[in-house]
Amino acid sequence: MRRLLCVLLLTCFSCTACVHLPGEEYAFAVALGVDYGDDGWQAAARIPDYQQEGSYVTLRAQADTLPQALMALEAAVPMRLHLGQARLIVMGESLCRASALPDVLDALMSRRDLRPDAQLAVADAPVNTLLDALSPRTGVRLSKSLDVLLETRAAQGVIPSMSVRDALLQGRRQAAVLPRVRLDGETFDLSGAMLFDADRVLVGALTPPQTQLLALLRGQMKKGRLTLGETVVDVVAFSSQLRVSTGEIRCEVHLRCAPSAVPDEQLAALLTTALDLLVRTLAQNRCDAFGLLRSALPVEDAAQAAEALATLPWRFEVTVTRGA
Amino acid sequence: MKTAADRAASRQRSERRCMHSLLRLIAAVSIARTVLMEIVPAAGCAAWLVTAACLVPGLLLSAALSWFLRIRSIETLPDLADQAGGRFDSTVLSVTVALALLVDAARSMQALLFFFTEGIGSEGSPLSIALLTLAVLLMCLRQDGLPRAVFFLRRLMLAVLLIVAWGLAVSVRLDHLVPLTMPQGRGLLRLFHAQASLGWPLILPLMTPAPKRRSPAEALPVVCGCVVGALLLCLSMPDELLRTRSAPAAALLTPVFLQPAAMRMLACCLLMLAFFLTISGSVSIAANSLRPALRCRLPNLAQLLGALVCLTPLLPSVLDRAPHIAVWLAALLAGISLLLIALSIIRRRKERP
Repeated sequence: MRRLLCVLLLTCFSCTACVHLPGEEYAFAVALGVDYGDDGWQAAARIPDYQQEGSYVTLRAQADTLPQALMALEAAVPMRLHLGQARLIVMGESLCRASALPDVLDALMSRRDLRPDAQLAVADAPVNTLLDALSPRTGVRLSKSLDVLLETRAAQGVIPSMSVRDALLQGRRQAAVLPRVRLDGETFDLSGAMLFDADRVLVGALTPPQTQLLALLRGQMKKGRLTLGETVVDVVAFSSQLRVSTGEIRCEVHLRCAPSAVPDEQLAALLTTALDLLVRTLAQNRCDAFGLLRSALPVEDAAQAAEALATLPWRFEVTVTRGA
Repeated sequence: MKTAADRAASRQRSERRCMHSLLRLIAAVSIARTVLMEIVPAAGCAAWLVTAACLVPGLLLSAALSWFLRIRSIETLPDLADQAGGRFDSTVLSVTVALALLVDAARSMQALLFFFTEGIGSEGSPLSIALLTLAVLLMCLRQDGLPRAVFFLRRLMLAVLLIVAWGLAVSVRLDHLVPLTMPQGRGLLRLFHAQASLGWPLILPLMTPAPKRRSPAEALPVVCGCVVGALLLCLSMPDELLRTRSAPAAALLTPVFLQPAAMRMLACCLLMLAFFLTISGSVSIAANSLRPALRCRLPNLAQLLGALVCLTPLLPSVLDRAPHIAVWLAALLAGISLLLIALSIIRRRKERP
């Protein structure tokens, strides 16, 4: 029995261990770009330049379909392309406005080597140019630099966190909200959010402060610095509860923040105004960012339910306390 | 002070417990594999309900047979066959069980190949993976320590299963279950028809002596585990994701692929270990069942069957028919079992003065 156990356990562990992937034979893409334009589908990958440490090159391909573009990209890479180290997948704005998010996810899922923790983002600049601007800001490894950047931004609440796995698990139960990527001069800027409707079509955008509020309401951000107009609040704890009834959506918010010169009542009013503006933006764009449609409203007629949700008034009850 | 007889009885009880663990593992893996690869892609978020419904015939048959064996004080189903119909009936029962186990092992082998060749981590060719599995089988089947190994590993496997279940439970959303989109009309009937034999492995524990007194509810833990597992899967993944992964490999791998990184490794190990042990166990029990029927010793029969099972998935035309063969074998097994009960009752009445 002992020998049998050893054989079984050794087989299992050796089979699940990392497959032998010599660095000289594989091009590990750190970031992937996908876009759709007049010339068809474009795919781009940012891979390390193995001849010079710390530098990266962008490879591009285009074709009539996304799977073909991904295959053409593979052909453009001098080695075998591997997505097991991908940190960021950037999709073009025009692509997301053409209702292609599910197609992109399906095409990516067909790649068995894709890292499911890779973050999705939407770019409002040409994807190729944007990938060119990607270079390590800290250290020499772009993967580590991107990890740190994405984690920090998500912790600050200025971008929503949405990996490939999250997007697949979320399905249609909730509208997608993806991070926004843009070029500020030649610098890669990651802030704000892009809103999708129930059909997964890109419909609008949120500013970084609005994205922070959304992150707080969705429980993705618990504390940090929150910007409300010209006032900056040090949030120590934040909790919220949404209740949908036939007549309204009631939102109870408890904010505990560090002592400041702004009175509690004024802070509560500022927060209420900002929250009201946020939910109006979401309603205008038919973006069900809280998944209220399926969890709280009847779903026999999805279009009617979406309309009902967009017209339901919100009532905010904000409580502000002070403390460390 | 224990006497030699006590020690022998204790050893016998332990052996029975070990064999019972192996048979339960075979039943659980067979049901789980079918649920993942066939029921979930067809039924989506209603898979747990379809699974529960499809397990009812097997559960009822198992409970009825257990109850009958208990009231007649008969240890196993082959003993009942011996008493009720004689050697021929016993042989037919053993051969049917052996064939059903071999077909099931071949389907598990196919799932294992999918897992290795299209799964995570490895990029092996089907032939190399089949040969690797064959090597493991040849080592496992040389000794009779397999049931003991399963008994020894049962708590470890259960612990890993609970951790993996926790990984799924993190993303549970109650609204994934509604609206309950079941296949309609003929689609639903076809699904029930194809999967009504899902619970056949629940009869397997009746083929060997039970470690303690038989109970009609002894198959319930396996059934409850499988239904709860299916429910957890339906709660943690949206309907559209469950339905779109209809290719067998994708259906098997999606729940593993979407686990957090640390859980993914554990889930991979658990799946592989369960498949290796199940294939080895099925082949070993099938060989033991076939030996009396073939009326010869054939010391290497298990190894021969193991080689056959490992190489079957390389012939897709054979494996395409496996689900249909499995349904017919399960139906035959159920028919034989019910016939044995009827024969036993008739014989008892004739023997009465």
